[in-house]
Amino acid sequence: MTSSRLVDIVLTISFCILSILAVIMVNEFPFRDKLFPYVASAMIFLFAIVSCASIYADLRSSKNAAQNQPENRPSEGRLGDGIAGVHQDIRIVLRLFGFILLLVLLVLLIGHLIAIPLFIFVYMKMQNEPLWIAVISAGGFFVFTWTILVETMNVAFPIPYLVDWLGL
Amino acid sequence: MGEFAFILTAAGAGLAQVFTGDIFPMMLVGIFVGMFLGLVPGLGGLIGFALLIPFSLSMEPLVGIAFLLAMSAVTTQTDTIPAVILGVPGTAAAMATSLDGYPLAKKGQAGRALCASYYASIFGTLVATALFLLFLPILRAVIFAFGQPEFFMLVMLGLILAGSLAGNSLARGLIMAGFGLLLSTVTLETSTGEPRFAGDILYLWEGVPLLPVILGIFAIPEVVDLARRKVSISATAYDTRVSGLWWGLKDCIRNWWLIIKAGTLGTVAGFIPGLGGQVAEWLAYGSAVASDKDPSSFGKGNIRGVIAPEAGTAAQKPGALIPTITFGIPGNGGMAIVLGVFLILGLRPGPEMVTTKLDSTMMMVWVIVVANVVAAILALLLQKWLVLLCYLRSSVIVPLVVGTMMVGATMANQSFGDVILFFIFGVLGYVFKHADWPRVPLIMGLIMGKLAEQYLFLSTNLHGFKWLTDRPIVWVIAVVIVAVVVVPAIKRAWYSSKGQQGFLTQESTLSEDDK
Repeated sequence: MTSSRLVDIVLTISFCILSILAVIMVNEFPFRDKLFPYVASAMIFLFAIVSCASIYADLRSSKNAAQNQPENRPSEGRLGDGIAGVHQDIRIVLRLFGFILLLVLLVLLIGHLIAIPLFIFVYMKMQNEPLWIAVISAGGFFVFTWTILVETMNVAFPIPYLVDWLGL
Repeated sequence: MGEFAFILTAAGAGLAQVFTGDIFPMMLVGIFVGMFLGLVPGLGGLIGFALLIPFSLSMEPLVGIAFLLAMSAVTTQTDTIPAVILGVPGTAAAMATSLDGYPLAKKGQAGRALCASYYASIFGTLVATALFLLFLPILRAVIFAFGQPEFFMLVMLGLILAGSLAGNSLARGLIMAGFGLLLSTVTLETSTGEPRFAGDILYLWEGVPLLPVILGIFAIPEVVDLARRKVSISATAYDTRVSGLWWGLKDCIRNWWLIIKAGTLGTVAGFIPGLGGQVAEWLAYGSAVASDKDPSSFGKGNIRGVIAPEAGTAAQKPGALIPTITFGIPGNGGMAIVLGVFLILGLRPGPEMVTTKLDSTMMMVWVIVVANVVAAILALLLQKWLVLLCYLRSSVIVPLVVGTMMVGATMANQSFGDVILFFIFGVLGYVFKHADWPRVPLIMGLIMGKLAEQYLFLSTNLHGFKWLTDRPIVWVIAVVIVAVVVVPAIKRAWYSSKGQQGFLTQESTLSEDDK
């Protein structure tokens, strides 16, 4: 079974469960408040069942095809290379999401105005960009955020937790 | 005659509004941003929407909408520059253009190809505008015949169309549309004072905010992929001279019928929810190949292979705008976002937009036309420098875009909940994108869900459940919905029993990327 097929199965089952949970959760509500969630849940449930059936049919047909062609093997070396490539891709993607998660945590802790320019600078340096590009980009972003958003548009960014904890 | 006079007067008033001191300067800003986004491979209109919405929310409603529409209108115009000069489409909507544009550049005719593409875009939007004006009386008659039940059924039809056409699998698309509808029901119920699906999380009591969801689900996956692929163009330009101004115009005039055909196909593709830029482009390209005396010349530098897709893609934008503002059914993902902004800004799609506010509707259509004209002039003036932007490295673009998105996600509610939601939907968006679960129906469901619930509530409140049986238009729409769901399934079964793949199945794989 391929990984994309596995993701399909997981998502389909998750949506199926979600639709059932949604119906249970709004069951106590008055009719007017539960009618539309019922419609949405019914839609999800119905097509999740259709999706399950189609996945099952696909799995059966690919199993039959594999049984009919037992000698059909991948060519030498290619599969291993492919898996290595996929693993490397997954590592890169996880690292990128790690970066974004780190930025989210930094924003919560020290606020947008400092966290984002810091992120821009660190990311660019880690990607071997010249120092002057990293400094100009981070500085430019700070100036843009401060002058346009804070001073001109009066955007009030939420107070970071660190400031809250330290009572500043 | 009175009806046409009213429409033409509104069209004139709409055009005049475009050039007012409020709208035109912000439109120019939108055009510059859109040109940049179109040029950099990997970015595009959806990221543009995601980045600009926060700023548009602080503007007057019509100014904000004009700002977004101008940006979106020109991304598919400047994406032609890298497609023609470097053979690398700036967005997915320029793939067909590069097939013949790049060979023309190799022959030293890049200027001709680019100019022809700019003119074709302008003429394409004009064709769409003319079609809109022509069919407006019919549209007005239809919209006046509709009540709440019909509007509810229309919204469901739009969602089901989007779910069935955006992606490879009908079931997945419709599950995503349903998920979007379910997300739209998260709120604090005013009738009971009880939170519905929101629990004790105060942040969700006003509903799932649109902005962090859109940014997360569309923009994060694109940016992560941009960083993963490390896209930076290494190809060198064959020809960056600004030439062929008249040659390109002559080509367009000579192929006026092709432009009308491609523009009409683009408008129709835009009008049908779930199709979009790429389908419009390939339909137009296909019609150019099919109607040419020498089909074998396509792919080797036939100028008709540049004109048709550009006219089709450009016409798709006004085509998608029309159902968005008249019926509240977005023609594509970008228009779903415009509809969301529309609702946030307090505007409401429906009969008003073709009666008392027809001038505002026409203003929006004209914004797309004028943006194309302005972008063409700017592109001709700045072409040599614009090409340099194509070489921007992903390591410079990615952190700046992520930073802007993070700021943008927080701007509407100014809450840390936005930042967390942005990340959660970013992860979900990446999984959905790579597992081929279409994201456009989800966003359309989230945006249209609130409208749909209101229509459903009013329908049952006013008519009980009799609206399901007593109203012929409801029946007609119901039959269309059933056909949309059942016919492709039967077709697919038919083709798979014959061992072929249906045209729609092939086409639909192209529909989500850039609209």
